[in-house]
Amino acid sequence: MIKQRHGRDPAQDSKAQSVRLRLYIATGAPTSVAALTNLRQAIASDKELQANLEVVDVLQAPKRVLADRILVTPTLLRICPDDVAMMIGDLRDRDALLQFIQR
Amino acid sequence: MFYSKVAGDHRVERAATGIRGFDEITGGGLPRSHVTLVAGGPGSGKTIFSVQSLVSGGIQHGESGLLVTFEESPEELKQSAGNFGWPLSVAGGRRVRRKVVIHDARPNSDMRQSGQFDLNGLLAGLTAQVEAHGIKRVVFDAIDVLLAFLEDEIAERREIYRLFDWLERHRLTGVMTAKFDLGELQHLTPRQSFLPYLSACVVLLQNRLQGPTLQRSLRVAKYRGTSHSANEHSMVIGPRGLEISSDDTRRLDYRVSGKRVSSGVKRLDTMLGGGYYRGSSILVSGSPGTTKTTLAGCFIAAACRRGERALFVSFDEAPAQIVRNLSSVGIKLAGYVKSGHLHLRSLRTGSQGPDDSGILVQREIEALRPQVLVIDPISALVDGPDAGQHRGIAQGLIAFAKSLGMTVFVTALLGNSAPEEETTRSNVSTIADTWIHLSFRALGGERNRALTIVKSRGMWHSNQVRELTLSRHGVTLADVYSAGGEVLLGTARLEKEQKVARAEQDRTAEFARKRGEIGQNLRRLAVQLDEVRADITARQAELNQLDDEEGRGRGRRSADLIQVLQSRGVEPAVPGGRRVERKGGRR
Repeated sequence: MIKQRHGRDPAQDSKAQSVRLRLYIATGAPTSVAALTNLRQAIASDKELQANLEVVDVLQAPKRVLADRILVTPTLLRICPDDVAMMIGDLRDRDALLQFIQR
Repeated sequence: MFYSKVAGDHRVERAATGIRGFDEITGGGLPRSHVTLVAGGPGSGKTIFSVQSLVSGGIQHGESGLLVTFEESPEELKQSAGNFGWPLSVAGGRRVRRKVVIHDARPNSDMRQSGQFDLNGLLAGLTAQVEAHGIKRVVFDAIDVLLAFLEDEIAERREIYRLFDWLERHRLTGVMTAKFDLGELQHLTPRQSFLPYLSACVVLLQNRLQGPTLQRSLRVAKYRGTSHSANEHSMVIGPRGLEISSDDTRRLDYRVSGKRVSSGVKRLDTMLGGGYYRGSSILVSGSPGTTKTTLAGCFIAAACRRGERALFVSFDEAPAQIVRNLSSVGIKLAGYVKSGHLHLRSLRTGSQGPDDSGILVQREIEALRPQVLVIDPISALVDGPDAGQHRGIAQGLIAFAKSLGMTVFVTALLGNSAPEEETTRSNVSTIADTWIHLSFRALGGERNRALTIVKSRGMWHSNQVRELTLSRHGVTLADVYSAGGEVLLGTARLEKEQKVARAEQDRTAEFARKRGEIGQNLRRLAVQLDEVRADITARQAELNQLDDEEGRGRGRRSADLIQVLQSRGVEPAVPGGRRVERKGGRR
């Protein structure tokens, strides 16, 4: 499991909160490898984005797969206190990905 | 071409589904450790098929199952299982519960997609379930929803392979349902045919409207490594799940009995030489109002009186109505219903096709195992928009009931002409062992019910046409009066009866007169006889007197003679009397 924190100075935008992200991958699967790369690059590309990313390997943690009702890999979850949004695929479309994360 | 019998095929091990009919068709059920594709349009019974196979084939036999749903919510599935009375959890040996685990794999509708993905996530979750619950069978319900989710054909194939591979690796018996109307398999495009091609077994479910009623059917289009019945079988969704009519229920190897059962009408029993054969089938045909149902009532009441279990299936007539109508002619059924001997079931002809009706009746029979069965009328199982196709249903049902040793009594609506001229559309007559035809005979301005035994296999039976009469006390057959070669019915019979009664009175009077006459004669002769007897006695006395007198005279003469001989020194010889007499005679 890898935890990462990206972002700039929080004082500049007091409302900017860290976005909780969880990425389910199957280690070794090409789409999962691609998704992880694409996600990291997207987060890095947006200097204003503060992201708290958790990467979960479905093969290592099947119970969490059940808990989050994960159907496919890779699956990216954006977790807010009142809502969980889901995006699947190798996350090749960076604009769509950033829009999803920042919604 | 000749195919070997399905049931004898052991190349592929079977996993029973517990679905009546299906296991017979396939020689045991689904191919174990292989994948079965169940395809059909919406509402064709795919989910019911798969859930039923998990419950009645799986957990009831100690195998837990995993139900992966891509479309219906777990709550909906639990509810429908509840509707059929299927437990999703049963106690197993050593405190292990066998259960059906429902895995909710419905795609999130808000889910966004960007690029390619695979099913590793799902399979990781499923692996956890399989290992945690010791699962042997997996159903993927609505796999089409999952496939629609994959963006191209290549991804589709890749992920299907992944699923099949996963199932094989875990040695699971899989069922995938798909909302494809596959129709005929050979007309599929390569993309469509991919899933059937990979599956070891393909079951096609179909819905067809026959007039206003829905006809369901099931066909095993493919069963790898075995020969199988690829015919279309009719299917019904009943209160306990799917039932498929298999040819297996139409065997003819049932036992036959020489025992008789009463028809419930004493005189009809006499006409039949003692009643119907137990375990035989009786057809009563006739136009409306010829007391077909009443005869059925007589028969079933007699069975209940003997303490037997009876099932009365009627079409379009409510049980209460039947009980009331029959009680008006002295056939009391209410008590037998209460005591549990008699089970009345009413079906509506319009609400389901003959196929469904047939299977519903079959299920009632199986559930109840009655000794006698009445179907009133059997025509309901035959008449329909496609009579030809359903002809076998009635016959199959009768044969099925007979195979269980039941005495089957069916009625059929027929016109009023001679039964031999009627071509019964059902051809039920061919399977009826005893055929009784009821008709109206118009004579002397009235219509009377006439009963004829058209045929009765293997028993002596009367060839006479009899009048059937109904009263508050039940059914009976009137006495026979033939006149000029016609059996008299109705008023003609009554008149004849009166005439016969008058003649009888006359004859009685004549006899009385003659009897008196002879009595007088006898008395006179007795008097004469007394006189003669007295005469005889008198004459006898006279005769005796004569003998006595003669005896005394002879005695005296002998004594004199002896004196004479002694005086001359001669011993009289013994017996002296005769010698003396002879001597005397010579003299």
